[in-house]
Amino acid sequence: MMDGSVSCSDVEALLDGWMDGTLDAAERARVQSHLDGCAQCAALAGDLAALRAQARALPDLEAPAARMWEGIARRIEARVVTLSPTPARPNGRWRGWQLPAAAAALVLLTAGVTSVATMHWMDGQRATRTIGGVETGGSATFAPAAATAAEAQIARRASATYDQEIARLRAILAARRSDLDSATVAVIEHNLAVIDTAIQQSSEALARDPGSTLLLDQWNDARDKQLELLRTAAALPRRS
Amino acid sequence: MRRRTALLIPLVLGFVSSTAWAQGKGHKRGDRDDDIVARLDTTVTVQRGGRVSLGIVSGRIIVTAGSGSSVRIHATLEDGGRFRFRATDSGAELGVEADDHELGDAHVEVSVPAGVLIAANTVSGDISVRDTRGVVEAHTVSGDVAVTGAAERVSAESVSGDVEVRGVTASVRAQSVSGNVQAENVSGDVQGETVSGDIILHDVRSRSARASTTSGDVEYDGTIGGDGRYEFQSHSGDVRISLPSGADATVTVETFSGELDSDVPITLQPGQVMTPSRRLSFKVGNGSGQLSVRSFSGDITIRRGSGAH
Repeated sequence: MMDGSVSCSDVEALLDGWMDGTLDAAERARVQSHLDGCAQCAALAGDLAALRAQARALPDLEAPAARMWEGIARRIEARVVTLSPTPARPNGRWRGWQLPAAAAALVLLTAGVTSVATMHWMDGQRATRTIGGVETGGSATFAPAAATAAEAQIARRASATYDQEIARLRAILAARRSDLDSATVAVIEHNLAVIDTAIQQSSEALARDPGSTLLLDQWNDARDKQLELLRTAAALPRRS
Repeated sequence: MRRRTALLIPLVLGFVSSTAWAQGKGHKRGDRDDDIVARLDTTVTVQRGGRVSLGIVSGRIIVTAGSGSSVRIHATLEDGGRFRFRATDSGAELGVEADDHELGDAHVEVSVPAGVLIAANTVSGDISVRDTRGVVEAHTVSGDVAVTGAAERVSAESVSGDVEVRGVTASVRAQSVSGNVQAENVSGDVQGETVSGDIILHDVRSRSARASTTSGDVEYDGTIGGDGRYEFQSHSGDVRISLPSGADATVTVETFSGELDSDVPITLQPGQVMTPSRRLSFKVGNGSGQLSVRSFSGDITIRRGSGAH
């Protein structure tokens, strides 16, 4: 769609500057004029503005350290904030780089939240060294059986946040499936199945031997890999 | 012992940013090869420490060492599309964009001065970077990545291809999803990750080496000692460690249903027994390094190696 001398692609390139207020007056006026007359670009601008608002709403999070798990013994004070639902968009409004870029941004935003949540959760687990199996929403989670009520609550919230992120990333992958190379999708799905098997095996073993740190580590490694693979898949570039 | 898996996301972000440059050289139609719709042959000057970014969608990227301060680029594009090229004070950037919704395979060959940072990204295709003696960031979705002769830092990633890093003095992060990861003759910290592929770390001289795979095997042959930390784990694959002569480490071995095979004398500490979860810890030499080997159902093998490292 064209509007005067500014095309949709021009507007896409200028949107960041428009939102940051870094465009000069003439550029800003052209973008605004285009947005007033182009529903697609106006929707895109709205989506990006919402994404930025979500980012601003997040607490300050330290990037996960390379060896974050070794710091689990120390209390993490950051507050856990759950992002408002941002369902994947199955319609054709996202074009070209927009969906993978937005997905990548969303992934980065959720990564910090999930990390902090998981650290809270692991903190509780390490504090007690006693683990009991709890079924939540069809996926096994392991909360400290002898933890305090507060720790148990943190564990449940963390696990729920984790499951929520997994579900969200799966939805993004499903929505983008037709945009991605089918062979790559097959590789992703095969490896997700490999990880699912590892999670299931670790989960079943943990149910029999809930005090095993080995099994807990294996289970968490598999869950880490599941999350990371889904993040990667959600942000993959289009096939063309 | 827990750690965070590193993200493959830079692969994607790198690609996205690489296609969002300002317009550079346009395409040239009518070249002598019928299938080639765009060709770029150019030489620019980039100082040591500069950056050369190469981003394509489909095709092969080959980077080799040149001389002086010249970056020579020879690139062709088949079937459709055009190149975007920009030279700046700090480096050079090459990308592609569709032309009338058509974008074909690119073949990019670049020679660079030593010490230049190479950022190479493709969605479908192989990447080879040889002897550039600088930082290398090479990311592809479906294709193999091979890096040799890099320095300082190497980040090599693929989703469905193999990743190989050889002969580097650099910290190495090598990742795949379904492919194998191999690092050989490396001086520097090493981190290898994959889901269903194998990880082979051979002739590694490092104070920190880690490898994690879900269903593949892990092999390590390198230094173990000092105050180093070495962590190797698989879920269902086997883990094989070659301890160099003179190794100093506190070794922790854990497996749920796998077997432990070791030709290293294992001396249990007073009161120590194999735990129900099959965890065993013992010292080799003065025990200064930390070696952790885990597998859920795979076998663990620890052998005395011949190398001194």
